Amino acid sequence: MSTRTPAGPKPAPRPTSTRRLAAWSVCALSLLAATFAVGRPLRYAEDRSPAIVNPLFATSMSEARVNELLFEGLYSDNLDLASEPRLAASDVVAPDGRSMTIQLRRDVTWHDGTPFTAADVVFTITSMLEPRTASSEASRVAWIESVQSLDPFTIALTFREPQSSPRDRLHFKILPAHLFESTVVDRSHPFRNRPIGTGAFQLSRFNTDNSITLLPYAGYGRPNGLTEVQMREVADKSYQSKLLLYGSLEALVRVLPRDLATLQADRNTELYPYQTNSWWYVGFNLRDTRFGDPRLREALSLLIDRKALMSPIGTGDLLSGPFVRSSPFYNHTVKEREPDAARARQLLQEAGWTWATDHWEKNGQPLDVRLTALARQETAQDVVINLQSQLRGAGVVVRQDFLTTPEWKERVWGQRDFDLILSQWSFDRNEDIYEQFHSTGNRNFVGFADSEVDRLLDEARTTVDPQHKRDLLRTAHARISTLTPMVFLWTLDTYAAMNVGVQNVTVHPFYFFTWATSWRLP
Amino acid sequence: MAIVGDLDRAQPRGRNVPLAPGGVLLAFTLLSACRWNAPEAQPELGWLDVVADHPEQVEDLFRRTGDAPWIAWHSHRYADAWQQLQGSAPEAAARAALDASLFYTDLDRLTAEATLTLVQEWPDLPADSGAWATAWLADRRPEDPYRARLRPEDQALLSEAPAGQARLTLWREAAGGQRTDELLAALGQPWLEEKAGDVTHRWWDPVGYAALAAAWSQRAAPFVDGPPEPAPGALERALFAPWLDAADLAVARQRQTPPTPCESAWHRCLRAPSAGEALTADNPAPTRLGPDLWTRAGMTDGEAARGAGRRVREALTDWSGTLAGRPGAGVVQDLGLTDRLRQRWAVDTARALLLERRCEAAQALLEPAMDVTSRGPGPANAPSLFATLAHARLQCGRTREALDVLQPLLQVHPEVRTAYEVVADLAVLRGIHRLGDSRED
Repeated sequence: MSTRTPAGPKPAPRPTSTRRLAAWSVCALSLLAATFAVGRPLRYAEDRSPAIVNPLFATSMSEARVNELLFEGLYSDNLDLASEPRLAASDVVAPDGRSMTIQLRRDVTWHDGTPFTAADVVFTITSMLEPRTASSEASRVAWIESVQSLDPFTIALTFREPQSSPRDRLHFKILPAHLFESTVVDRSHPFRNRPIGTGAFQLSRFNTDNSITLLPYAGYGRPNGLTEVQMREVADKSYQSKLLLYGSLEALVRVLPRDLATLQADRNTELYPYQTNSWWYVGFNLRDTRFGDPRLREALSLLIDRKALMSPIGTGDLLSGPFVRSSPFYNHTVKEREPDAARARQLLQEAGWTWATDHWEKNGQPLDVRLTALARQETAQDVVINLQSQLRGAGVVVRQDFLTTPEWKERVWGQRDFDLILSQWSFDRNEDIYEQFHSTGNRNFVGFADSEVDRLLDEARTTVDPQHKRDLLRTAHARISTLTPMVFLWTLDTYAAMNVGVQNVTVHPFYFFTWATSWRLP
Repeated sequence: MAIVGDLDRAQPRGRNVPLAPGGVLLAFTLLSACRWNAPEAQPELGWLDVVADHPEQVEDLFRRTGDAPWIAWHSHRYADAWQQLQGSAPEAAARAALDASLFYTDLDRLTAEATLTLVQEWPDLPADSGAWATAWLADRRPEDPYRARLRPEDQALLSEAPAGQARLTLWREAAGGQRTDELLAALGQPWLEEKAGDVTHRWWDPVGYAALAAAWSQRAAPFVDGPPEPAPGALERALFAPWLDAADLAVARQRQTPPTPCESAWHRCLRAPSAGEALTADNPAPTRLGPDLWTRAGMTDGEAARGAGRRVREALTDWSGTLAGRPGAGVVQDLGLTDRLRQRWAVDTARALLLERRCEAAQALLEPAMDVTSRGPGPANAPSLFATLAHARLQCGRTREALDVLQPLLQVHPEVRTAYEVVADLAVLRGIHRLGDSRED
């Protein structure tokens, strides 16, 4: 029996002869499957290739999507979006809701052939909880007090608070303990280049053009209708659409609104709704004393013509707060801000800024901001350039700061080094903004802290009354909108697109590939 | 627009009419004035062939009724169309009323299912909650499982005692076709509010849409009760309809069910299929453009339904290819009549699939039927498309995604708020124990 230890040694290894035999069998089967596979590869496009393939550190949608193919959780969504066992076989929740025992499947192996056991679950949860790992997923297990393996295929969980439906919270991906030396995991761990999961697909290779090739894992044990999946990095959205139309790709995960008409008119293309509750924003770094003044934030917000910014990239809804307009939590009584240069001027003057020929300044220093965004993302570049132009015309000096994905992870996620950021958040159907706006949230880059919002978000996480939760989050929407930690921009109408040859497609509304094994591409 | 070339060739001599959205009605009028001798095509799509070959009949109709009601109907503003057509074209007005009735029937089914699911899945719902009365009204089944749970004060709903009198009167009168405006306004507010500790619970009217559907069905009576064999080619009876000619319509009318008596337990009469539903309960043109093209029999799953939708699209696209040289070709194209017919077929078929609880097939049929370049209900997308798609998603467990299609509907139809709020409650309830996930993108 092993228990959770914050930085303990890795769990005891399993008998090596079994592992070797299993590994050889699986490798041989995989080779055989690849050799005789029939059918075309499913080639799909991402704007950006995943920066890291390790679920402990996944922060982007492209990473979440590829992880969905490679890894599994204890539970997952079925087609009705209810939790169903995946690596779990059965479970018993204690009557008081404070603990749970889970029997694991005995027929699961990792892509290297090693059997999956309770040690892997213990390792994963322990690593996520380990502060020195600094997992971006830590909050998804923070409700777990302890995890124990009772035997190689049984684990026991205890919870910090009673849980009515713990299965719904055990969807995070499980990692192979035998490939890590310690539960303190560094982002640069070689696993990122050799990811091993239990999912339906295994990594074949990272290609020199940033594409990734995945092949079906023969040891998966369930039918798989696809013979190969290729992720291709194509930064230019228009080019993505052309590649699909010309048959050089089979799937686009996100189509920009401007390309929808062409794709819908094409006989060989099918569109699938893929609204990931995404919204764009310009965030202020509230650690910067200048942005600590709400009048400056409000003024900059009023100087931005969001409609004009959005129009080059497509159609969508302007927003007044941190939810998309169709969300149950969107507060429709909060009006979207209209540009108002006169009011902005007044606010800047009240905040001590003065107009100097062609710009605003304070204490002899111009109002000069660095706007950080991701490079290699065509739509973001368009917005940055237009935003720079709008603010410069209003007397604000804006310097562009485009970062590569690794730089973004380092400077924005790690060091919070920016003045303004342009980015977008995507949410699953629960639209939980805790991580973005709670003072303890680990996606709260902007450093927003408000005790009333904290209270609302805490209560919204614990209530079991749906109408109460809705009221709490609508109130949070209003308060966050008033405090303006960011300029809420818009949500775009988005669809996935696929060649008609891809059959039996059901797209998961967030993770996309959850049911990819049932897709067929003859 | 493709219409321009046709206009140039046609040397129009029509009257000058205000330009409708997209120049559609200008084209209508101008093209209908053309009188060159086009070869008579063998009609295959009923009234669409009439429009393609005899646009002058469209002009005659418009001259008699004015353009405005047809602009409204083309934009799926049924109430406006009904209002404006009553005097000049009563059967057309009644058909617009039929479409309105169908739309509210769609919302009724969605709301009733969402309400019952919400009450069933909500754990620990207090015994003294008005939710039980809401569920009882939504349920409408003979076995009446919620009746035993009604609070004493809600027994008034059974006896129509004064406590529920005002509401019941409103519903009944609305069902009689009198006070739909009041009912529309009422659907923008919860029908019950109650304190539960620090929380105010709001329950939403579970029969308001049924009352509206019934009211609009009453208004459709002049058409439903009209002559059994309408004259072929009468555009008043056919323009924008899912049936293509008199034979189709006769078949549809045979499927009508007699109205249910409503004297006692009046709210139960709302359960009966509306006249509109009866008329479009099956496919409009079972043999046109290909055997089994329009039938839902083979739609065993989502993939099959999507394939069926694709085949209909291709058949209609091929039919559109026959329009070249026909005098009304521009009218058919500019009004998007083939896409409209396809969408109408998809919605009607999806209704039947939803009654059979084949939500995957319904979704697969409805999603490609939506013109994704138009963001809300309007000329390109009928409100019923949004309502049935929301219902399909609800049945398939995609509760949150149902809101994605109700939201644009709500912006145009404020009375959709009742449906939106009930589905929103259910969406929140179904994720109440989950920790959300969020990513950058």
